Amino acid sequence: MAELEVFTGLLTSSLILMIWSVLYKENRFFRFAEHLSLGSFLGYTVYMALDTMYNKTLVPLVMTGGWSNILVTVFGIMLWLRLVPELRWISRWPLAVLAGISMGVGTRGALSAQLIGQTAMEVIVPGDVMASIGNIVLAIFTIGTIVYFIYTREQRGPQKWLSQIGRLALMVTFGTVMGTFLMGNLAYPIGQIPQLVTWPGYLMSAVAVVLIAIDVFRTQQEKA
Amino acid sequence: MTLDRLIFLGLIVVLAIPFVHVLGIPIPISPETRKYHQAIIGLPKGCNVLWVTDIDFTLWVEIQGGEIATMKMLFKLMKERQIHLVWTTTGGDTGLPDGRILIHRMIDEYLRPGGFLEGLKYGEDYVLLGWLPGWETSLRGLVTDIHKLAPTDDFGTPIDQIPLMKGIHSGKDFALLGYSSYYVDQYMRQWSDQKVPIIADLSASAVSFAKPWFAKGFVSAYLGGAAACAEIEQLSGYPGPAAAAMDAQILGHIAAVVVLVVPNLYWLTIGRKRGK
Repeated sequence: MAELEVFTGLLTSSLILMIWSVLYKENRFFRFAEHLSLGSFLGYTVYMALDTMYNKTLVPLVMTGGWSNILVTVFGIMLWLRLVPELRWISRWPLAVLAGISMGVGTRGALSAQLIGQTAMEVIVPGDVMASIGNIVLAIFTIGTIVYFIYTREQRGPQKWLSQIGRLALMVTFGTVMGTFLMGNLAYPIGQIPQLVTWPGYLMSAVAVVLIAIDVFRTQQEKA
Repeated sequence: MTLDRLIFLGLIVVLAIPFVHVLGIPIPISPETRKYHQAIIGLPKGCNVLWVTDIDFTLWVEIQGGEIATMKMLFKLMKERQIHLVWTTTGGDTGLPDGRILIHRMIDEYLRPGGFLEGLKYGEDYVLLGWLPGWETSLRGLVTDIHKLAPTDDFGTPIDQIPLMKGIHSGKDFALLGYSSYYVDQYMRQWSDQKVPIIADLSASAVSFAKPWFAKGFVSAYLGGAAACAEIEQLSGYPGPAAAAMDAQILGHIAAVVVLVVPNLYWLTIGRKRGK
């Protein structure tokens, strides 16, 4: 068991270092680790797709029957016809149904929750000035953003003012999201570093440092 | 080696410091995290909880602490208050089955070794519905007709034959809806009409989207990013990966600010004059 843990630790740290080695320069170790991770994940996804097709569609179809199961099975087969050039057009039908259903489900919720839910409110909250200001800003920004995306008529007068407020709201939102996204990304290296500075991962870190030092030395000698 | 690569390498060295020498920077607990904790520990006896793990491997690194602490709390409540859990994933925006792998990883690496499954019975106390691809349409199906959306569980057993699922059909049968994801709007669109409390374990980038929903009461509570995950670990009494990583997170933020501020100051004072 202990040997297995050491082997897993060495393997994990090796793969992390191979991926991170691109920070030094493009190399074969990086390519190997990249292809390995992509390949293994793709393999698992295909396995899961087949497993889900079997468990969630074929098993209920055989056990209980039902036209809905037959329909989705036929739609699924139609989607696969995308791989046959002469029959590719057939795959557009189930795709259109999927897109239509998704659009309908999304729009239904968007109207009730996002549009009406966010704008229908008690704007002035008694005894809470900050909440009242926040609600007013929220309502103006929501309406302004919707107006910004009205392209069917020329933006003039009050519509233009609202549109500019909407643009400001979008810029503030995107800036905030970008900042928090960048800060959140710090979690990715933080999640991997413990593997490299603790036993047995630090052995691989030491090997990586030596390999880079040799390569730097060799490159400089070649230049000279 | 180019300058940007050098900056990344420098950042990695800075982030590694707390793992070699613990700094022990204190973590204050935010009101949002306290509400999240309260929403879980205040669950009534015998109720049902739906949890959707819609995260991929990259987000897992950021918010795993919150997800693991949440599951530990829920599994503890299964023993103490006989609550029940229906646990699944819709694949989120990518539609990929990462969530299913992570659910099994949480069970095998954290819940089972920690003794959280002892005395609990699969099918009576908790059920895994596996990967239900479709994201928003699946989210809707989970709260309208769960039996039609998931005719079998994660292991291929018809859910009509699972004792726990006999009493669960729609969103109204749950006392709490919870999820982990990069997103907020999609879940609110499909779940908010159920009038059931919703909690979320979110990435830091999703916090600005969660705030309006939180202010309007659609989201009862949320965790935002690694810092909030460390807070819930501390509050729940289950210290884990997020608390250990907080020192590095804080140092990383300082380094990021330095990298942003110093070049700009250089440009404003010296660089502009030299035309560089």
